[in-house]
Amino acid sequence: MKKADGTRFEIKCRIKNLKNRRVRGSHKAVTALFVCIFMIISGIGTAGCGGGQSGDIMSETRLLFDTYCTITIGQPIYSSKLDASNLISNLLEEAFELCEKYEALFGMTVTGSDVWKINHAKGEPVEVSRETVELIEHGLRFGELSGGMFDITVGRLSSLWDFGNNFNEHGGQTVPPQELLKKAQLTVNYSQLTTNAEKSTVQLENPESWIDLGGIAKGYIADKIAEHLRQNGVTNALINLGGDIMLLGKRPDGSPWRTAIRKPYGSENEYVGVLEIADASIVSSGTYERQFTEDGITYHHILDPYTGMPSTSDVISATVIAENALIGESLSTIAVLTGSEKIEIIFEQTAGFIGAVLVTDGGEVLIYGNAELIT
Amino acid sequence: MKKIKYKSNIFWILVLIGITVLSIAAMLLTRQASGTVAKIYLYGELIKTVNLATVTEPYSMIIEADSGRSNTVLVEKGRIRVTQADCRDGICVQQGWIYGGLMPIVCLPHGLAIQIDGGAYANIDAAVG
Repeated sequence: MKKADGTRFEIKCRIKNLKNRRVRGSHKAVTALFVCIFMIISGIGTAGCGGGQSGDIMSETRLLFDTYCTITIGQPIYSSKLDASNLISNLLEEAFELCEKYEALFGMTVTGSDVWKINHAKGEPVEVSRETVELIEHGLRFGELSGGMFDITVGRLSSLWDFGNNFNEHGGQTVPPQELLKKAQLTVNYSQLTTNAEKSTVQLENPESWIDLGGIAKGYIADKIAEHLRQNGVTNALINLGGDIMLLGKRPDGSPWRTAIRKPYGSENEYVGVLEIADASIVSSGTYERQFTEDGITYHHILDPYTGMPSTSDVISATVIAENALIGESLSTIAVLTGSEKIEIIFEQTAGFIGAVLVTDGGEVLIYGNAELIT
Repeated sequence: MKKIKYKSNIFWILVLIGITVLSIAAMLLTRQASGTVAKIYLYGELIKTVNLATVTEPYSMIIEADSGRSNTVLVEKGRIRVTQADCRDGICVQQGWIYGGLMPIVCLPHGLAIQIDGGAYANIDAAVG
């Protein structure tokens, strides 16, 4: 923007000099007209070059949580155009700092993180941050709601599969041995996980059990960023943590944010449709996100805690619109695990659910609640 | 004297018409280019910008990661893809061509990302799924 503004200013000065030195008499008005046309065109031209950053909206992308995270922030209220840029830059920095702070708390493989401490406590209660307790309690609520399909004590299983990291000597991924899977599966039981909000402690009664908050952490962090931005006067923002999207208000131009739903297993520009949403979250889960094929069978990363294997329901992609990204992330995963029929009642029973778009293995697109899909 | 002044004014009017036409042309060209520019990042750092609108003949380039491993990127008019990679999962190759600015090609093991600014889906703010 600065560069574009600078160019425009330079052109303006040159025209002014020409006018003073050369143009005289009755044709002055005609010349002035052309000057006006030129100035207008220069203005349009420079505005068109603005890209993702202008005086009242800025966007930044960083690689976090093994994925690309983009945060877009519009001009906060009570700020003038002059100080908006600095203010937004600071808020972007603070938003990414929150990502790093929570990654350090919730990362299962981050030594010394709250989750790491819980998993290595050998059955003893561990004092952790208030946020970790809050997130775990949310995970437990969704464990109840889904009848155990969504279980945050799935850590041993998920680390055994270790999608995206666990490679054999040939550089490919492989299915873990059945005996290890069975052993890991026995450690999955969210009812053996207890929290104490007053003391800010968490206890895994089974010392062999591990928790994995990977299925809900990004949604929680997106909500925390949204809360921080709201407290600082931001009314328009798009927080996209690798597909976990939290939308604050509308676009700065007053229109709703437009989010496309990618066609499962399609190419980059194949979409199921577009959702026009304001002040809500949109989160997708799908069997195509992380997967590998062995002996002709494709294995994806959404694990059924009852079998220890990837889910085999009819839902291959679930996009949930909810009041916050934590609810959206939990429900979208549960939809892939339970399938298109059983999820309907769970959607109805969940406060904060707004709508959903599911795609089945037969290619059917199913709409639930208040979701208007533009195709 | 009057005649000379008249000619001088005509001259400057023509100059301004010329500048106006050139401005419009520059504006249109800039807009077209900004819709189809691919940006290649390595470990988050912009290492190359390719104007896909002006590509006449398809060509390949090899992007080398710090680990000594590499990705082969194929560029054609209006689109870009990774054709070969010695990474472990090959997701970047499977993704195929990208045309618009929504979903970047990402090769996490090599820290490579290819993003197109603008394009056919420029009016969409994000994509999920």
